[in-house]
Amino acid sequence: MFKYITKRVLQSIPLIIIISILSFTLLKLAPYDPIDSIILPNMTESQIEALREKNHLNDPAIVQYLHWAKGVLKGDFGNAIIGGQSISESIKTRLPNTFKLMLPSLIISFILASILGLIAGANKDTWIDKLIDTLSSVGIAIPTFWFSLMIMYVMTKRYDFTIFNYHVNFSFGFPTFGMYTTGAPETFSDFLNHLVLPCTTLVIALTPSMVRYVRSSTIGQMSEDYVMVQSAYGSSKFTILIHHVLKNVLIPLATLFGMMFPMLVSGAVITESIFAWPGIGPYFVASTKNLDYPVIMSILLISSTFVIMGNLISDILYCLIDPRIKEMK
Amino acid sequence: MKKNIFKTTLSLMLATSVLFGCAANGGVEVTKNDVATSAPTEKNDTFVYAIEADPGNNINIVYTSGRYDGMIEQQVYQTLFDYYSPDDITYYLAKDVTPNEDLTVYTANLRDDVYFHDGEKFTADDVLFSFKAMSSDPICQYYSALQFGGDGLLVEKVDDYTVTFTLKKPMPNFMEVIGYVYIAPEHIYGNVTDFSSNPDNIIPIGTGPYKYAEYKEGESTTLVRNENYAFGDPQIEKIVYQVIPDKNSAILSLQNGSVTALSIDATDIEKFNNSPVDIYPYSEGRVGGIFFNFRTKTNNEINNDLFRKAIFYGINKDELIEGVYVSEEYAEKAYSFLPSTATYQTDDVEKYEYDPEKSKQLLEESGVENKNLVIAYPGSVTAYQNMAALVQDQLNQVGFNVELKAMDSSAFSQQLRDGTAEFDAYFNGYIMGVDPDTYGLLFMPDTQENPNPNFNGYNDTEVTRLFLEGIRESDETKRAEIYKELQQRIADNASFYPIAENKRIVAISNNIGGVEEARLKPVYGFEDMSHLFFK
Repeated sequence: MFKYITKRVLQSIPLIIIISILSFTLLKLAPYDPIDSIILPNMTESQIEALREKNHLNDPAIVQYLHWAKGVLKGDFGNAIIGGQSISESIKTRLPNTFKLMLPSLIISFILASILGLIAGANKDTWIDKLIDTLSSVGIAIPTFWFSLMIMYVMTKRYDFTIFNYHVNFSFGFPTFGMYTTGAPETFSDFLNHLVLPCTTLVIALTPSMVRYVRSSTIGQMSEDYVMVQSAYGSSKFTILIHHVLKNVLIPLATLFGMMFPMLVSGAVITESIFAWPGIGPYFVASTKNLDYPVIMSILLISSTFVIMGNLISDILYCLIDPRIKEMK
Repeated sequence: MKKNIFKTTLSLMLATSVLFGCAANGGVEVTKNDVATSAPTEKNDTFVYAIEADPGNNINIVYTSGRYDGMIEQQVYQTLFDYYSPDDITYYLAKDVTPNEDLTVYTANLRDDVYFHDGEKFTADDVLFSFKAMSSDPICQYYSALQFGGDGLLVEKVDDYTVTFTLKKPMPNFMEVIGYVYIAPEHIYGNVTDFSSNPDNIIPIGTGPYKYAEYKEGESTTLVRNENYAFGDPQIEKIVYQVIPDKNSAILSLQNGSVTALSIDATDIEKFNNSPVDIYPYSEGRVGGIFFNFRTKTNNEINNDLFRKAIFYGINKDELIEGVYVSEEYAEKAYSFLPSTATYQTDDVEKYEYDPEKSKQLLEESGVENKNLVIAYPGSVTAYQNMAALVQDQLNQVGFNVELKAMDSSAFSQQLRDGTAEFDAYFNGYIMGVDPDTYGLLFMPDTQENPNPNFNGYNDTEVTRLFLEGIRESDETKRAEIYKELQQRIADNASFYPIAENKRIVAISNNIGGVEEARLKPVYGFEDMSHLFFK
């Protein structure tokens, strides 16, 4: 088992190197020049040249890549071209913020999807299956940015109206932006207060496709012989579902878990931007707009590392769940 | 029926609120109509200014060049004076500045009662240091302006509170350029060689009304009141620049009061009709319009004067202003390349008032067969999206065949500079300054006097001559003549189509007073936030 994990970890190193080279090449091929985002109309050619020199933009691509890679190995992602701040520092503060939003959202979605998927799959073609399926379709179809704005509008607005001679003034009082109230002490309840809306948005966005995944694999398992045998023995549907089907559905769930893992970094780009959540999302969007390539590269590298780690984790989970796979290796 | 739907919605909403657990400052308040509801009486001590992008944590006098870091710089640091026009100057660290007779030596008397945020006294040495720092680092955005045409500027200390500036020859834009220089403490930055990344930038120390307190990556920058501010006590305890990247979220936040101020588009003004928000439009001297790419790879007919004039007559400026900026209250029609805030600006130029018949006629006269036009615009800016669509429609009606090309604004200048641009015209705008000379680089080709050429291949020897003559001339009336001729010449050439001088619009919660006194300054936001207070 340990040998297998070590082997898989070692295998992923060249993969990460290839990914970094690929993304660097693609950025170099883009028809833009990052210098344009820092220069101002009142700068002279010599000023522009000085800026280029300073940011190593005159070096050949391979030198630029090696320069960057050398820093990364030391844990230093370099400085952003725009603003000149340390990228490692920015990522160090922003990544945990993204985790704080994504982790609860993913866990809730995961649990919700497993329950709903099992129910729908076990009751194929009944009204409850149809209901869950329809809701999932609607959920998949709703664009995240639209839903975020709608939920924000409804839940943060102050309602003020008169009905039957009674004056009603109320608000759900949720905040529109940020992780904590501006200027107030940072408390856990304040954090939760800020978490509710973006988290709900993400759950609505993430759950539906997972439900379908669990549902279809449950349906597949339900037609297996062992289910028929169990029901022939007179086991209740619930017992079959929990004691037998669930175990077999766990394998696709492990795949799902692996697939979701990279979302910890890149899953909330839109939601974070709309709710001004100080995570990786707005940082990534802003630097892409400015073609701040050291920042883009760093984020791409981190998220692709998470993809590889996700795959690794699901492979390891397979071994733990299914003895047959362990023997095969 | 209607009532039913309403009731259901209401109960649904209430149910959700129970489900989520009502948020801290939420809650329902139901009162009989004749009972007056008490307004919330919490004490305000924080002014929250919503900004679109992270200003970063690298504010210093040399490197800062963006709008948002500039807004913070303006509160933390001060200039000798803030310059708006020759007769509109607010003095800060200088009490006055007087020139000698031939306008080559200016003497500044400095305030002797100003302290930096760390308690050190401000003296002439800080002025000398700051001028040296800004004029010797090519990365500084005012580097080229501070070279004064290559002749340089000699800054000398007479005593601790008197400084002289000596020029080789009179420069008409001298005062304007001096107004760009913020004063940083020599005792902190004296030995710094590289301003771009320096641990002292994390908490910049200046003399301004607010002290830099805290930066939170991706969230906010907090400034606190400078109790020793030499120009009056700042009224509001804290200023927070809060990053809200999404425009709609920022608008909702201002509506519900969690944000105090925000810059908005004219088309968003009506969203605040029922909110306790005041709207403050102010001119930044920005001119927006259509530039032509004389080195185009798509339709070379753009070099044909009649063809361009046909375009000019085919555009309906009134419709553009109404469609994009709502009314002339938020964007005045522009005819000259100079904004009305610039000296010597005149509207006595060829105006090309909308005339579709004349446009068709000119198009015919030009004898151009290829009526295709590719017009590029910065795709991420809503105002440009709308403007481009309107222009496309207007020009197609008079017989052009317009194709629009949404582009990233950084891709723009790159392709123009390379000469690889595959578009014939492009929407763009500029905020340059008060003296017309600064605008030379938009219309002059690469010369020794103008080392930063315009990027669109425009080259008119007469225009270049006039610009060079203008900066060499120090007589007011003669300069006015030169720049009038210049404005007329550029309009006659039909080389740039000015559309509007659009204002920046700041929406501010109506419980804020002192906005007039705090004054909105082009690009840098409020000039001095110490005047703001909660009513």
